[in-house]
Amino acid sequence: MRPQTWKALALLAGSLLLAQASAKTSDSVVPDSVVPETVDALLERVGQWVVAIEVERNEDIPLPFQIRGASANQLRNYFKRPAGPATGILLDREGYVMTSFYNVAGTVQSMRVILSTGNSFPAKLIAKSFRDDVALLRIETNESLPEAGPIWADSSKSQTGQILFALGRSPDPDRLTVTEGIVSATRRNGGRAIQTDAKLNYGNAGGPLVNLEGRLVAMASRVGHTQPQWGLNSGVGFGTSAATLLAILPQLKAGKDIGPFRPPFLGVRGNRNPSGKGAQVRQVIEGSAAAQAGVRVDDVIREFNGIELYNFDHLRRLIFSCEVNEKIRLKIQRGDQVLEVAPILRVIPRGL
Amino acid sequence: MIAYARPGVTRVFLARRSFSFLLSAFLATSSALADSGISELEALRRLERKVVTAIESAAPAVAFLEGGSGFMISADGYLLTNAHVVSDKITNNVVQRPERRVFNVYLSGGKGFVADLVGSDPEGDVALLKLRGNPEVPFLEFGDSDTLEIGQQVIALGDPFLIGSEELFIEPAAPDYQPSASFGIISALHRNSDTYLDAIQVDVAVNRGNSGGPLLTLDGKVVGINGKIETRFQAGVNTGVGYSIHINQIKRFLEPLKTAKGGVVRHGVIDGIAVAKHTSGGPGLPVTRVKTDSPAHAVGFLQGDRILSIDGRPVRSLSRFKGILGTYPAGEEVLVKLSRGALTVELKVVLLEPGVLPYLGIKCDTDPQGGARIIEVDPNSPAGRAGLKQSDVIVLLAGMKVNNHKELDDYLLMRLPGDVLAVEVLRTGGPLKLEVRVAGQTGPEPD
Repeated sequence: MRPQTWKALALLAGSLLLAQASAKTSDSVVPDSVVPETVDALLERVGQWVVAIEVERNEDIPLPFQIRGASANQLRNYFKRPAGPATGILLDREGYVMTSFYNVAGTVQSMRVILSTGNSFPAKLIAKSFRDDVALLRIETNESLPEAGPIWADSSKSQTGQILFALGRSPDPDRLTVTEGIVSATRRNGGRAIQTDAKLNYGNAGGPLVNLEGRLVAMASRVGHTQPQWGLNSGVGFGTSAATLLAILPQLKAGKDIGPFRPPFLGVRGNRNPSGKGAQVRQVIEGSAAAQAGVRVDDVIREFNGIELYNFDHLRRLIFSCEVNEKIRLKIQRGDQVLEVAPILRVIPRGL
Repeated sequence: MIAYARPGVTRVFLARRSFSFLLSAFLATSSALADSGISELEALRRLERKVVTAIESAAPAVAFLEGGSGFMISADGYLLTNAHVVSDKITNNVVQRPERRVFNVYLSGGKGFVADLVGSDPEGDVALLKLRGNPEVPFLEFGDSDTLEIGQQVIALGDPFLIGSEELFIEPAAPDYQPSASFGIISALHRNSDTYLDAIQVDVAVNRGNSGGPLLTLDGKVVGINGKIETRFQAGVNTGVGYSIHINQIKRFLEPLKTAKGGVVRHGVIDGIAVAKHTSGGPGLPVTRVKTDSPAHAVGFLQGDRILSIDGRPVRSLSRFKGILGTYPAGEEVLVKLSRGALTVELKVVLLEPGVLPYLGIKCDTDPQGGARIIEVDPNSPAGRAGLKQSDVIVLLAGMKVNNHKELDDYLLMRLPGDVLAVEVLRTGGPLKLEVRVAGQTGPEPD
């Protein structure tokens, strides 16, 4: 292929990227439309929308939820971070900046966003999501901001093994920190996060994970959730996926916080016998969705929303993929009888 | 400190601005291909396709055991894992004989099975299980670990921190039974770490829970079992130093494991020789002593021989000597090449369990009519369990005619603990055919 043609194709590909990006977030614009062919050039481009955030805050970091097996102190340490700026993602010209909630938890005195150009602006918190460890900030300025922002990846198409770069602007806002790795798993945290073996540390939280096209696949969060090394790399790191971020951004932009996940509750207990077919019910919690729908002890739940169940764990996984107040369909075997019920999932009662 | 990888020091930021130097595991591919006129990113895209494809093909065969990982090796349900995944007991870094026999196993995606322990190799930290119910399951193909090279890119699959099989998230989420993949390179070969005598060292992120999971080459074939990591200060997270048991070792143990009936398979040694700690500059490793009347003596070892190679693998140190032998089960025959003065000598040597002699549990004399007459049977011995009785006369052992009790002893010495032998005896009323499984008994140590 002649060099001229190649360049034309590259330009075309570049404009396609641009078109798709505009379809999702109308206000993100890519300054250069040529697909980079070196890692250096790719990271140079991506680096334009990776920002540093200086946060002045009190040590009164709230504990929004409990983690089984973690003490309050351990948890508080998780939400603390070492001195120095945090990393964030500049979303658009309107000055929206996304970061990990844990970078800004507690009573904030002031926040400044330092752009890749070196310009810095005060910012305020618009809204936060406990569930996905996201905080949305907005730069407060009358100046016009650079036309930089991420191109989003279709994270529903993420595959284990895809190469990722993790970028940060901590501890030095002037310089990008880059580590590389692969997508380790595509659907952690109930399908809302990805897992990566890219080396993620405190400074990465709130920073982007981008693919070989420079597209935003996920935002690093929940870094080092495994004890006792909160915030330190183990080769097991997490990022809230692009699909999740795109889904919650409108709500966050509207200034509405998102609370912790409310696990939906069916109200049956079973054993963890892995083999056999379906989920055998050992106990039905009084007053629960299952009780109201008439599920009984010794029933075997065969199907959940048309999905054939392997075992009780499988049932639990599918319940957790639903929302509170969602109506589900169960196919139940009771002796020789097969019946269908449609309970509405509720919240877990206190004490369970 | 070594931690079994049911459990890693943390790596800190190393890379900053110099992007061209940071691509550790990707570097080989990207720079090599960049030379051939392909762009750096195109090289990485090609690598990515290989990695994605390898993981896609291998992931369905990954198993989640309670407390560790494993992988299927046959369609009818054989599964490999670490011995320390099926046995919690570890003393002096040696995994003890498993006490549990039955395990819950989940394949990628969450389909569950019950599996039985078929056999374990505690010294090598390998266990073989089989799923009940003759299922049809996806499985991994074996690669050839002898062809591995330092720097070669590899993938680890498994369940670090049990995040795919337990509820460890900040928010409640049921286990998703999706294995975790991590990518890196082979850091070293032939590593010696406690009972891992010939391990592959990798920089792939491996953590607690990865134990028993497969190490894959980019063609999706399994070349090792990830079993241990180096860690300090009880950090319990990956340090960039992990050890895998190579698959060619495991291949040699597979048949003994399959026939172990839930028991233990032992590693083999050259019974009756002592070797020097150092090569002292000469070729090979010197044999310092040969025990009179030992199996090694019988096969022709002489004091002063220098061991050049075992099965073609050069012996350049005591650790390689142990490393090579450590990859063979007792009962395997190896070819030992020796330097003896100006000569080069080759010996075929059957490896034996350390200090163990074949044992039946009978005392015999010679019957006047020919054959070995049993004068005493230990009821809790292989002979007792096989139904041999006092006054029985053994006339045939494993197809060989027994004329007197000396011959019986000689024939038995040619056998190994674990062998099942056909025995024909004369008992009042006529001939009788029985089967006896040879056990081991501690014999005299080399002096």
